[in-house]
Amino acid sequence: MACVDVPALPLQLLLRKKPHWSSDPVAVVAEVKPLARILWVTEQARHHGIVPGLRYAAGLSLSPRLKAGSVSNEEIGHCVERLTLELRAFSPGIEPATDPPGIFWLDATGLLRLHSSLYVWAQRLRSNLQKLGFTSSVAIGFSRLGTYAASKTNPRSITYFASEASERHSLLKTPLENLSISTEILHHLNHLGIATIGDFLPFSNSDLVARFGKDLGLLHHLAGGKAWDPLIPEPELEPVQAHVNLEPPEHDNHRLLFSIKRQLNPLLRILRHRHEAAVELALCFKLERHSLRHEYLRTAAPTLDAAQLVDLVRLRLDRAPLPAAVIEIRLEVLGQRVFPEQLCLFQDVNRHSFSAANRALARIRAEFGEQSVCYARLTDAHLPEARFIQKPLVRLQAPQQKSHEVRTRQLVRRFFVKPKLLSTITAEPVDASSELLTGGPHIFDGGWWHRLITREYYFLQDKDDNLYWCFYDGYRKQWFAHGRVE
Amino acid sequence: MNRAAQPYVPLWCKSHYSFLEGASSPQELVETSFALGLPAIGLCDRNGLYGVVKGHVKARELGHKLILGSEITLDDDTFLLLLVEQRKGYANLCELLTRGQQRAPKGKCVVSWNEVNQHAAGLLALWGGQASLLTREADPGAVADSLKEAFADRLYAMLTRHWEAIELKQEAHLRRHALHYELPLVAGTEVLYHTRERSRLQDVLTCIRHGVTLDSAGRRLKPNSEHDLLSPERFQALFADAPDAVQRTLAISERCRFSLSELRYRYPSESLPDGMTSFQRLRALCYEGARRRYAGAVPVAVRDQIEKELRVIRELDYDGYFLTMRDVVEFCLENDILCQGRGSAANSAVCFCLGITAIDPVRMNLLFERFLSVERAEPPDIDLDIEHDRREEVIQHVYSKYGRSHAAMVANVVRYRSRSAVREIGKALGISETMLDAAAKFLSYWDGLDPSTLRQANIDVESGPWRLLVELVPQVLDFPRHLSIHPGGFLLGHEPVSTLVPIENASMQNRTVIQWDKDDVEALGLFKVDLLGLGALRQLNLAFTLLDRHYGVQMDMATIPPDDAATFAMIGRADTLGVFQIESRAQMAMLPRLRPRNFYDLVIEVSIVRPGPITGGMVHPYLRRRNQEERVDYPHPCLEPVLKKTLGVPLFQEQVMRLAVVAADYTPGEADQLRRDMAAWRRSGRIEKHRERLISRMMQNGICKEFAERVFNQIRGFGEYGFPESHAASFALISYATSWLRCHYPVAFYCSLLNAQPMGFYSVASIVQDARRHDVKVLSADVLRSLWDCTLESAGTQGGYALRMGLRYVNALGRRDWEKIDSARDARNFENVADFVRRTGLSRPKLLSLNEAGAFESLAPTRRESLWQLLGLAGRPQTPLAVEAQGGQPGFARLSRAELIHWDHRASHHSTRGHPLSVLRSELRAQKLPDARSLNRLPDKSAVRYAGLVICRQRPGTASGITFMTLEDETGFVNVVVRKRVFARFAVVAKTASFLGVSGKLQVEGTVVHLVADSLWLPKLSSQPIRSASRDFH
Repeated sequence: MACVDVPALPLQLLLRKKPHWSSDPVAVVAEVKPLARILWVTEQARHHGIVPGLRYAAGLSLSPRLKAGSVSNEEIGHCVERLTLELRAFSPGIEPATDPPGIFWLDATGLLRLHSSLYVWAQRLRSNLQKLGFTSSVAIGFSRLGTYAASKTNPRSITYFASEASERHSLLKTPLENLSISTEILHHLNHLGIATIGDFLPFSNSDLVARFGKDLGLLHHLAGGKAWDPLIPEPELEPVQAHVNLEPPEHDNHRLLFSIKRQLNPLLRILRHRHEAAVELALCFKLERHSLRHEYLRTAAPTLDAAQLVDLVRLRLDRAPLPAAVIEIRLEVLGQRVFPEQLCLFQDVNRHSFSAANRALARIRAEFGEQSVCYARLTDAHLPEARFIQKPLVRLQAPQQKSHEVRTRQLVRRFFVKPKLLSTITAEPVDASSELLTGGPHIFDGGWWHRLITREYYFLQDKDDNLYWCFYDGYRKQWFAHGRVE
Repeated sequence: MNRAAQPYVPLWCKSHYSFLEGASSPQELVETSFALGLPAIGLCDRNGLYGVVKGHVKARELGHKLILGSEITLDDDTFLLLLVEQRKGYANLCELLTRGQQRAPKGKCVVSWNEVNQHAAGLLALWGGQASLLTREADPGAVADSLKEAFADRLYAMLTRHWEAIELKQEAHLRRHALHYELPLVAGTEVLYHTRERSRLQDVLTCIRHGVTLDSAGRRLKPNSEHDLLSPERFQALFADAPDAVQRTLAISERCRFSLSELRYRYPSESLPDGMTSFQRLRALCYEGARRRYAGAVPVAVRDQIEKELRVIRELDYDGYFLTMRDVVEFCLENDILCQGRGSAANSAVCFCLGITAIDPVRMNLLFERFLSVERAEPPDIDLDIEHDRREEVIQHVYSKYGRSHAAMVANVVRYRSRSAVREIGKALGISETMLDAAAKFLSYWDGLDPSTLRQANIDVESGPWRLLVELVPQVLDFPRHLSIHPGGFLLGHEPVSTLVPIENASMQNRTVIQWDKDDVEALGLFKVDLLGLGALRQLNLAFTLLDRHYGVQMDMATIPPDDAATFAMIGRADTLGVFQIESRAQMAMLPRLRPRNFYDLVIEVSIVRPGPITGGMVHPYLRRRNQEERVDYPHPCLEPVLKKTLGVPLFQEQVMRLAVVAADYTPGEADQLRRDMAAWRRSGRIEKHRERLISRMMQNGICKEFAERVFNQIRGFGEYGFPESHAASFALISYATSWLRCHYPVAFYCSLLNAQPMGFYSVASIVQDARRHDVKVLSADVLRSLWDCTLESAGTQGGYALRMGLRYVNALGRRDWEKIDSARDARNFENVADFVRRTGLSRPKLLSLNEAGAFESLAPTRRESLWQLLGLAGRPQTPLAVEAQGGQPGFARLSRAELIHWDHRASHHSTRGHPLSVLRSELRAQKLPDARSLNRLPDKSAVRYAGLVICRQRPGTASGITFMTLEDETGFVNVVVRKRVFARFAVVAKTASFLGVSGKLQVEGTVVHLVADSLWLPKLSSQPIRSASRDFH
């Protein structure tokens, strides 16, 4: 068994994101706020007395140069997935640890047939991780605990145990603080003068369980060789994909769609077995004498209905036809875990339901592009153009009932996409005393913390009785028309 | 001013007392209004009259008219402007605001339309503005009818314009409603700042108020900068189409004739026995007290003085005030609460006889006129010090005796200082909290915002938001942030206080507070009773109780033997840790130079280490004259009577006043103004106006310029903080009493000092170490023997008493936990750790803390063994029967002495076993680092390296940027002087290190030793002492 330790993985991730911080003390914090806890620190930070558990503010008071950032669980999860994938090249049996992140146990049995020695294997593995930008340590031995303890005790190196006895000898000298024991338990053990695994083995297991809980009892058993903790490799999940070669090359959309549908059905069955449903379909068309064409389609909701997916493909191909005949199609369906009752919901019967509407919107997106379905959201601002923004509509919501206000007739202002120079609208020279101007000024000056904007708004009626909404920009010292008034 | 422009009166001005809304002070608004040539200004802060006194004083000074009013928030989230027409209206407004404030949570005020109508008499109402009912489309209907009925012709529709688009429609609605309800129109703008340069600050304040950033504030910000105080020309241009509405502002101003000068204040009259008048009662009590004070034989001089004082009191009709103070003192006496009057009250024989003060002014030759004079006719100012942890009892007694309608506490306005300003403005600018926290840590309380300090925190002050921060922070310094409670100031009135000033709820339970601070109360000449908490009195009371209980000695302040030689010898050695007023580093440095030999020397000692005498350059001349190194002479013979007591050098506030009268021909009125200006703490400018007058007049009278300038510098120093002689005498009495106890009953002294914490200058660890250095046996906290407080217990074969630490010093343990321990122990003593756990039911963290502090050492052989037992027992369900900890008892290594001390400090911030550096001494010695005792014996100018724990960092305003540090080790203290340049160079270490190394030169003057630092460094040892807290920058 081998243990690969990518120490302080979140910290390594942070430093990869911020390489210019490498000369400063750095910490990973739960969130970038003064009272957030420090979770991981660099050696340089430790030199200043900054240790995990302190508040960020306390860390800063120890070293004002301390740099800190947070790393989300999602980022860590992605990284662990990626590293697991990389390590599969070195062993088929891999078990990544969830806590702490960055520990991987590898099944090293039988590898001597492929590599001259396990040490060489470990060297290659480390250098591979090094190329990816991660430092690591590797321990090769006989037990999970023995290799874990060795990888933690000898950072940035390779430890190879030739015999179980040598592994055990090393294990007994391992400081407890190198094992991921909770700070509170470690604190108490420290107070009791128990510093290494060797110190802690003479105690009775039941006494330890009574005082420190089952986890420490298990550790005690594992260290004493009274329990066995075998490797449980994580199975490798194959992507749900298929490809079809078309001979002769196909240029007819209908036939293409039938080909895609034939491939989709078995893929959706795979998803169903995994208790998943499709949320995205990725298509790659290999074209005659043309470069590859990629298309990504999002479904309105997780679905196992091939017809829905094919319909989206049809809309996309109708809107953006392929420029040449297709030689090969590659499909990959991305799934999302769903529960059986959720799957039942997809069997829609009501033609006027929200899910039907959402499907319709998905079809519009498929036809016109992802940004084609938007809505206007009102915002809290003074600048007229900042009072609303266009947001992509992901899902249709039920309208909320509004009070029936009696509205008086109002002037309607149609905004120009961008304010136009007033001189391009009217030939008349305009200044603040111009008779063409009415109903102003309405003054806006704000935004000074970014760039001061000063505008004086008026209505302007030209000789053809067109009414414009215009302003004098105090910063640019020019007149602009912001819209037409109806 | 353009003559053609029609004048107007801005009626709706909000100052920065509309907390976090207005961006100018009342003074700035009044000054600008005056400068613009406006006939008057209306100050209408949101839901309060917080700023009216400041505005009134400024208006009075300028001869400008100030109209008082308030913007009242209604329960439908609209508002109404109420202006005071006459005294009745002012009382009504105060009452209305009090109602609104007292029913709402702190900082809010809500009243109903009905309540507004009930309080309409004497008030004018202006109805309008964006959030008003009158600017909405809907007919205000019933509200308008009721207002019209209540206010009749005193209700106006207010036409407001700020060049906003929305105002067009709102104005149309307002005009329609005004026509319908026959309301006259009056023009107005909402003034939020005196100049538009403050509009940015107003935006930022708005963000702070709503807890948002500028980017997310949206329409909470004003759309433009049109909320400044307009000149008549701009106002006329704005309302060019409504000249009548502009004219009406003047008519309203004419109607509002009320001024705060009209407030007449009567102190509550006492309920008196046998039909006596209050004056007769005062006289009787006075003589009764005098007979007690002088053992039945009242000296003629005292009798004469009492009669003289009583005449003044009668003439000024202040007898009620004295009776009240006497009542408070009586209450304290009856309830065994130690109290003592301080301040100028100690100049009064009446106060001495009534038991309010403990200083005999006749014997001390103190000037009664400093306290009260017919000419000044000012309310007397008596500050009563009360033992700090029993002050609340006295406060509640005052509430219950006078009622909450007639008694309320004076407010303390919490203002922006550099740190709070950086944090809050920075947040509004969107700077990350972490960066702000880092920046704030580098700022000093007194420095303001210096960009170079920010650069120390690695901040690029030229970058966008930081540049704005540097621009805005100075503008907001001293702005009010919110109200809190004055430490002990009460306003009492014969009429309900709520007719004088609105009263609101304080955040502290059972407290109500008025909307004015002590300066406002003083400016209006109102009576104030100050009930202040003083830890030293608590300590004395505790010590007297210990003396009685353990030594059979009944002692009080009056019976402490005077002029005790041993006590003065101890004081002369600066062996004064824990002694009231003379324990600080600066005082300790002065004591060996001054070597007090009697009580009056102590009075001088208390007052000489003050900014007044120091900045006035009076200290060294006094010391030289006292040591007969300089001849005592007087700049002019006329000054001899004034300065004789202090060897020709003015040290007290009274002397400065008398000096101004005698040498600079000040009239008593001018001298009084000088005193007021001296008392106006930190308000620069007010003292400066006396400079020319004082110096030139003194020179005209034959006094040399150099002396005249020195006197003026001292006066300016008093502006920071200076003592009147009577005040110093009151404090010196407590200093002497605590010194005497420390000298003769050290165990009781340290015990009472520890039990009176928090107070004084030193941490518990330093006090315990000092006690050990004085051969006091200090025993650690013990669950079998300790009480909550520290106690005296028999020292065994050595005789005498040892000091047992109380469980109050064990971290995580509260008084309720102690009560559980106490009741379990009362039933029977604990047999073992398991018995303790079972019968007290304390939680695991508390048990572990007790163990870490060594409190189980009587029940288990070592702390590790008891820890093992506790870990097996704590958190288990409790059973009525004893259950042993699970499993056997393994053997554990014993803790070393260093570990024991470390554990002690971690669990109780002190150790009775030794100083953290004592265990590192051999290592320190190996590095040739001396201990404090050895260092303090080295000769002058020795180059030394020293390492110690930092217990205090100070940078007094009088020290030209020099920082003083006190470092401690197991043998004593070392005073380190860090010059500005050295501090700047080693700023991070200087500010943050707890264990500090210093290289520098010794400066030895007699027995006073200072280490002048050349460099600061972090000592490198095999292990570091536990990080201890220091008192910094006080």
